[in-house]
Amino acid sequence: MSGPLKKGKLPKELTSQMEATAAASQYLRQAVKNMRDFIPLEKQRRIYKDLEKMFGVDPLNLIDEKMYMRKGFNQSAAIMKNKELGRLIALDRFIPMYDPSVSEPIGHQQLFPYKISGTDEIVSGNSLHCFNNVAMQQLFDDVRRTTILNLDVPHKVIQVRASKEVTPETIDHFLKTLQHTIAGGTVSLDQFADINPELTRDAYCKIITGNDELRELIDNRFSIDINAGFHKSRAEKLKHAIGDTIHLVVRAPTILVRALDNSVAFKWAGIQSTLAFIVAYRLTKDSNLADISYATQYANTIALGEPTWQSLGGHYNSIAGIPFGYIADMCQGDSQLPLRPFMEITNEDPKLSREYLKKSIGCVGVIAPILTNFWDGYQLSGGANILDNVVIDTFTGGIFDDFIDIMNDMMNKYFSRIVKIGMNLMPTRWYNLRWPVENMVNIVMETMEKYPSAMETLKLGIQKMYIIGLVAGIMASLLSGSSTAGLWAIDYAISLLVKEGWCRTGTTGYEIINQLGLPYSCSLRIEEGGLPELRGMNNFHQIHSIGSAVPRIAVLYAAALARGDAWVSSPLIKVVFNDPHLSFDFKDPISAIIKGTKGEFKPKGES
Amino acid sequence: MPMSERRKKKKIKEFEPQYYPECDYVAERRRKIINPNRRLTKLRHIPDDNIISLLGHRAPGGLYTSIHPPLDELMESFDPIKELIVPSDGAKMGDRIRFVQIIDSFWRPPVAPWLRHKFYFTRFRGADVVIDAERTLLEMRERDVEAATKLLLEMELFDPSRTSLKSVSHGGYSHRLDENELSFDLRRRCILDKESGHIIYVKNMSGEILDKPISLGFPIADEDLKTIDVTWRWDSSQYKSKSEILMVLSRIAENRILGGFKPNMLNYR
Repeated sequence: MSGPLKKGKLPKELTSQMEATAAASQYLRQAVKNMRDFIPLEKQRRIYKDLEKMFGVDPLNLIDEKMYMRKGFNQSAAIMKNKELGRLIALDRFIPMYDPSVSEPIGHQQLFPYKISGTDEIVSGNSLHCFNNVAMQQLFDDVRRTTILNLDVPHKVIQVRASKEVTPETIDHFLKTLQHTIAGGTVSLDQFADINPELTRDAYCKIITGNDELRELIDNRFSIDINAGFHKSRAEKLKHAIGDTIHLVVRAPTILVRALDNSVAFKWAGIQSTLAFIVAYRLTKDSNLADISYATQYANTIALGEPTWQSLGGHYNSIAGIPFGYIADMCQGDSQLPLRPFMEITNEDPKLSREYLKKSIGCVGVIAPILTNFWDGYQLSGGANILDNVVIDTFTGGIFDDFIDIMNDMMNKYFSRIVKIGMNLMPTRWYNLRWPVENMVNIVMETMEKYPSAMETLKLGIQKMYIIGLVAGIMASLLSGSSTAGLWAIDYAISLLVKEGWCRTGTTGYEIINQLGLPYSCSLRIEEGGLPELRGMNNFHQIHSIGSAVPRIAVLYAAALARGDAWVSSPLIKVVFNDPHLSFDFKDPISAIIKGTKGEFKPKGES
Repeated sequence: MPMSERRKKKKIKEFEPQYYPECDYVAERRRKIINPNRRLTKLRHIPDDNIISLLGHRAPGGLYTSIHPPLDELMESFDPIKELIVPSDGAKMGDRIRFVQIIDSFWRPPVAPWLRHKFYFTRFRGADVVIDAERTLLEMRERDVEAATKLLLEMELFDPSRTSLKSVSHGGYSHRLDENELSFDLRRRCILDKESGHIIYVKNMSGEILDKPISLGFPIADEDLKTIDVTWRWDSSQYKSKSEILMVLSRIAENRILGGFKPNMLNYR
């Protein structure tokens, strides 16, 4: 080897080109070198404390002293336990099984445990895999087994065509019959056998109505109580929006969606309700039956998810078919908090506004990634265990929480004064939102540059882009109350700001959707996007990028929070998932996930 | 002088592409890398055989595998494009397509993936590029890729401590550095020889052990790496204090939004 590079010093010819322009920033480098004041300040940050616990060393250290000295897979008790299990199974069945020694070498890198943000729980990465964590599966099942039927149309048909009277008593009787049929019970002699109720113990139905008087007339075991589930201010708005209509929420048994498909839950709800109508109202199987069957099953039935493109194979209630607005409405973290525009709250008390953010965005940050993981990570891609890595970034390591803290402070210090001039939202104009978004993205980028351990936690490019997109989008939506502005911010941050700042994005072609996203953000053409609330993972330009759905869901919630709305896109979905009988806790998802990591979560629907 | 004559006298300046906005050393460095007319500095000399060994596509001195006869021997139908474009050496000889994959650490590498991509497209011909957060894969004909690798390793775009040749197990770009300030390598292809101070490659790009270790010379000193950094960083030149680049980016974003919504609106701004 020969050449002009002596002792690592670059030739003068190279450095002198840069010196003139570099001189301007030399003073800054010197200042940073001398100024260590930032370290005590950094130590107060959530990210510092959490990463210190995760890594066991100062998270600001760029040098990993123990690199290449670790014991590979032996560091992780969970992997070693799996290895032993794999060995025993292989001995038992005479075919090799799970064996980490065949994998790509991990190169003695640190296999760190994950600290759940906002708690003291430290868990292994394995326990946050969606197949190991039953709570995550329960969340997925609870969503895809839900179907909503409108009872007004069949009631009208029964009254007009079958000349039967519909009263609160008959509705009670119908609902009681329906609980039997939904659980797989037979009601007519044509049917052959009953399902063991132990297998279908989580199947039930409830009604929703915005009319309190009507709800009081019906057995309260059969209805979702909006007044109890929501703060008074939210309940009033929700009841007003739902009105006198009676909706029936059917939770099909979990075994059904597990053994067959999510689309069966949709059909199960329709056919079991029809059977219950026949028996409860003593209907004969004459020509009226076709009308009642249609009215019950199809006339005004709401499947959470529409079928996807044929090639993707998603049918009714598939996660890809669920609009982003519905997924946002499933989050119930802030149900018991008074309904007010966010800017007012942050102007009054930053601690209270942090509580709002924790319960709203924090809830979305758990539910949305896990749900979308089942589609993006498994049903669409076939499963490569990559997205599991990405989804947990919003609730581990304190990284995302720390940025939420900063966002809250910025809102309080710089923007909340607009309340004094009678405004709760900033005008949705590009030049109003540009500075806050750029500033927030800069803070995230600088934090990652400061914290090598944060960079190591978010080791893939997609993980970094995921967090940056989330933070940028939420900032713009919280300020403007506009979900479209949130989309601008996500796409601007990933496709332009970070790409030019760091010269990096995610994996190959990750930012394609963001490049397309800017021109498509205001488009209502269905192949380009549509209303942000009604977009979903079935949009062709959003489907191919890992983890891209979550920021798009979070901005919808942030926009509703900023406007002071009780729901994002559907009051019905908001109420449907505010049900204490659901197996997964949609109000406090992180507690359920922690229980799942410890094996304490008891899924229903399995005997 | 009448206008018609004045127009005749007016010299039309040749178009000069503006390669990158902003006026600090990071942008200057980016302009230098992208601009094909700017000369790069050679930092080290690596023999051709060592380059071939590091790539691991063929043995040094071995024959090239070809996928078609040399172009001179082929009877092809007339195509004006073929007359216009001069084939590269590899294409002339019918070499197979091979690749070189270079990983840039996050911690002050001399060049970063998207910039590397721009560099490849402004300076190389017959190239195909794949870019990730950490890696840039360059696909070319075999002898072209060897020539390109020689340039990439010898010039100022390569620092053995922060830039690495990895084809498999390419993770670890954003991991912390090891005690010698080398970027993390799952297969530990290179080590620091403490006696000579050189970075020694003991495995080739694919992680196969080399017959003879190959030295890539001294790593660039940390202070110098700061001088040739291509990224705005919190402790050197802060991204948020840059006005021109942010203005350009904002303009691009705004035009894209308006253009996607209603292209006519772009005309009345």
